[in-house]
Amino acid sequence: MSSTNVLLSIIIPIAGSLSILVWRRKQAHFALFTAAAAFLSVTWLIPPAMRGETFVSPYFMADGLSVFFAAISSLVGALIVLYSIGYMKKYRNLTEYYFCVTLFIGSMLGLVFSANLILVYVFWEMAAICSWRLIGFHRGEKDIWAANKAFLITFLGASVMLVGFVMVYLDAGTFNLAELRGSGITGLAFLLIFIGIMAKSCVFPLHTWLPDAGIAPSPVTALLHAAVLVKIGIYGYARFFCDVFRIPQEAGRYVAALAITSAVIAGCSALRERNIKRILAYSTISQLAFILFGLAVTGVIGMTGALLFIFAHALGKAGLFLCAGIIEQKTGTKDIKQMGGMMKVLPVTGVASALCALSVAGIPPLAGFWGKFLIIVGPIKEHQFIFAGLAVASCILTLLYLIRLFDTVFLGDVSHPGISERSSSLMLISVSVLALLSLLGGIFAGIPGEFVQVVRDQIMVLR
Amino acid sequence: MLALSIVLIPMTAAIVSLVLGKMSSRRVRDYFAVAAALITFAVTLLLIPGVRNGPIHFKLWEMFGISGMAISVNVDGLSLFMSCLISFMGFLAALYSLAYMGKEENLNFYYFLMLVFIGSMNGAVIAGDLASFFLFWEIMTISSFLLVIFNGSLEARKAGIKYFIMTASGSLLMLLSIGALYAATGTMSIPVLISQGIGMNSWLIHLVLLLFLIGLGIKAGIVPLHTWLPDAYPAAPSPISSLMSGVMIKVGIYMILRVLCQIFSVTVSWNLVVCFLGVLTILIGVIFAMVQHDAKRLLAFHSISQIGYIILGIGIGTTLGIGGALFHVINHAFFKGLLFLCIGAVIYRTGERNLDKLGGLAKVMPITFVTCLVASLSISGVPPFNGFASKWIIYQALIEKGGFLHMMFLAAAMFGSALTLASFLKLIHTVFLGGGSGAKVHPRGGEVSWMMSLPMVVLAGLCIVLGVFAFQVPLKCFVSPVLLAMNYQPLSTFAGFFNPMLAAGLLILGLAAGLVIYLLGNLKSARTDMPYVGGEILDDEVMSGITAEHFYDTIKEVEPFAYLYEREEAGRLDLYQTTMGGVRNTSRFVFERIEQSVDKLYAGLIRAGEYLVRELRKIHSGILPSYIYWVLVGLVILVFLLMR
Repeated sequence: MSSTNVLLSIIIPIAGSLSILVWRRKQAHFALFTAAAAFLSVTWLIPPAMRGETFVSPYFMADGLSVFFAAISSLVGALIVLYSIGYMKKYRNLTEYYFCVTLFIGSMLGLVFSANLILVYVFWEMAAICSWRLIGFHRGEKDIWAANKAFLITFLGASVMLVGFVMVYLDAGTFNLAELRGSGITGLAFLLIFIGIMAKSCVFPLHTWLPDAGIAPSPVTALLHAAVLVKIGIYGYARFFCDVFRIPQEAGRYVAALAITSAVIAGCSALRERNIKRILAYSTISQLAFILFGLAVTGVIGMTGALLFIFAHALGKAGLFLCAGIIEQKTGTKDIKQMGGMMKVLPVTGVASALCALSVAGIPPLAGFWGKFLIIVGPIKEHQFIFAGLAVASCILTLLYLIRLFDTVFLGDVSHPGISERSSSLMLISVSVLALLSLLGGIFAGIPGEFVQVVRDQIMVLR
Repeated sequence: MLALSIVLIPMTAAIVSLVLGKMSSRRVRDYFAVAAALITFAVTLLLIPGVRNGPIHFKLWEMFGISGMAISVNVDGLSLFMSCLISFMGFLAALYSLAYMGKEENLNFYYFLMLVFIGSMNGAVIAGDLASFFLFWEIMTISSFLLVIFNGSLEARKAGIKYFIMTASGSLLMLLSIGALYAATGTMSIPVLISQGIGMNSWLIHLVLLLFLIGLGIKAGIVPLHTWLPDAYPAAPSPISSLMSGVMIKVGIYMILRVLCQIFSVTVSWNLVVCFLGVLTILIGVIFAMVQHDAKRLLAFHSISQIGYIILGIGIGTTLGIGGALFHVINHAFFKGLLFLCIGAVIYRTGERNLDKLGGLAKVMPITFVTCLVASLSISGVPPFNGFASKWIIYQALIEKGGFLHMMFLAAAMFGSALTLASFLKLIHTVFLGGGSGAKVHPRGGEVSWMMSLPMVVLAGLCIVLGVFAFQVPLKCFVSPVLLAMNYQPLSTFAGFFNPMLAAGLLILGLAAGLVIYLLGNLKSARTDMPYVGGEILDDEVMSGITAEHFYDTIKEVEPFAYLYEREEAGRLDLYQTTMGGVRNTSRFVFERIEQSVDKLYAGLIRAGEYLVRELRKIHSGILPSYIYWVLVGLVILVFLLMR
């Protein structure tokens, strides 16, 4: 794993985003090219990462965990950009849109390859600024309000986290993650950093910005929920508290309790909502909390499950949001009670979102199954039976709201007979790829599984 | 590798048939699907000699390098027994579908799902590891769910969702138990768990067993977890109802057998609890079956009731009990599968499954009538059909066990059998005999085509053969080897069985004598007349004869049944509806009280901030004199501070 490869995967998207500002004519294609190139350069890193090689320098580093997150984010990001070309055609202000999207992906890649807490913070906030512009893309009063809300909550969280970083520095005398590896952390510093993670990954009670952010254009919500923004928090937890620092035992217990509560609350809320994007947003909160729960129960099994589910959730949730975007654009409504029978008029979208929903719900043979299976078994192995019971409850809630969503939207009488899937081939390609990957990633779970094993073993080395 | 192919062949064929349906004609795809099902059955049979020498066990994949979890295969007597049944019934259902589903749309998806369904059931029973069992169990659930909602009507979707939510939640609860077993033993491998055995030495183990029973019991349809069955079976296409009832719920039974009889060494009180559940299931199932007006719903309740016998047999836990249960598994698969196919044939011709509107079909559809009659007698436990043979073994196991409780169970089980007969007399009478009333539906065309009647005839023949030659064929060839493989004694060592061949001979003799009397006497020229209703002329329906349907409605008024029926109609006996009500209320509470109040809290914070800013802004009035006063005040304070 050479330094040029790692640096290239950070530089490509960031430089690409800047060049979009310069060459405004073909922004969409340029953005797609940039995202694809970023994905390819990350792919280049996968074989050495699978061999267990790592790269360390004072500013940047790469190991299994960072390549794993980078690969998922850049893949899903590239597909979302492809989708955007079809979806965003009719809107204005596209230069800013594509600039922000590619910079967003770039900041995620930068974050996962950062070897330094200050750099982590910088990319963390870069992502927040991009999300702020993107959520408020339509510039209506409500859009701006939602964007401000998202930005303020994540920003407040991040600044608290920065205080935590400073405390770590005062204790250990370094910001470098490689040097910090294996050291302990005080309870207060842990709490402060965790608040930042909570705000970013929407853990209860700092989650309310995410459902409101659903007001953004669909590719943006997909990007927020699946590829970039909320995954940052999960990456942060995995990197800081599973990999680098050794946290006190009880801290993990509290995090698990909070996460599973958050999953149940969000699951209940998703059952009550009628707006398709808000339902999916609550679903994201619930699933992310579930992943965090898997990471927090600190066993080999939970860790494996969480990593696998990160992969499955990114594909599945991106697919669901993009399908919701197609439906929303065709029918002109977000209220699921006004939709019905979409399977007949939008068959490809229907099948794709069925596969994605099943994957998120953890039904075999789709990718989500393996993660959910292991995340439920994990806490039992650690003798945390009540947590396991709550995890099952949250899975049942997931089944309930996803099946309600699918039933009302796709089955039954056709509500909008005039619409069809024609002239949206780019969007369809993108959702089909996501759905297909969800399916293949489940059937051939050994392939992502091998990577996950390497990542897990690297993380668990210190334990 | 051969063992694996009974899963891989149908699964691969499923994908191929999806492609074939798009590329070539419908017929090619249909025959291909049937051929795949047939090949699966043939391969299953090929496995028999290998398994006779001992169980086949191999590991395919160590799951993510986690020790003790793997995808592995374990084929022993019990698994092979189940998978023979699955593949056989799967083939018959596929064959039957050729004609039955001919008129439907979207058949690519139908055959795809059906083959996946067959493959996943096979996968579940040959799984050598609880993880791989769970994997196939869930695939089985999802594929059967999609088959239930196949026609897309509101009724089907409601029933399907109920089915899916109930069984999937049940399997998640079961996953907790699987996890607990793994945590306790460090392995998920079924053969290892069996050889280790789990003692019942802590309350946690009891809980684990209970969760297992709930998860598996929902699928098997044990009362009070049965409520999805009567909704889902009528909604599904008939071949699918036949598969679900005939074999899918048996996969649940298969795992109950593994868990109760092999993995856990259960205590006597657990045996009694399971027996009690079995008896409850028999009685509740048949009591509700009696008053149904929908033919398939009626059959669904009978499925529940028959599962009760199997559970009762397992609960007894002796060789005889288990043997009877296993035998009843085969028999139930055949007669209940056959009944669904017969009713399917009736629906195919008349488009109607409401008993009130059917009648007099015996003349038009003789093959359907005769096969349905055989199945009805068989399910009611009339000798010499197979249902009697297996029920008798279960009764005998109860007698052998002795004791007051077991005698009560025996009485209840026999009572259930009598009610079953009563219920099927009604079915036979209203659908095939009787008739003549104006409201009846007339069939389009006569008997169904050979593709539909062949599976029916084969199954009816099996019902007779398995009953008459109970000891020579099924008990000797199927049940005893399985019992041996499960470390029980073979059945042939038990004395005091009835002799089915003698019984059959006597019955035939009796029937022949009856026929002679019928032919010699003048019973043929029976006189018919108007019913006497006190001289009044009533409406046509009454005057043309009272149907069996109305006759059975009086049962609804008998206490304590009346109480049960009333509750059931109000949906208060349905565990699903009650639970869903609870979930709805909880989620509303959480959403309104917790979720929205957190959101309001943020709004309140923002408002507080705005208020603060507004108040502070008042200081900046823009009036010069007031600013000068401020400066003065500031100066005074500064001076005061500096002077100190």
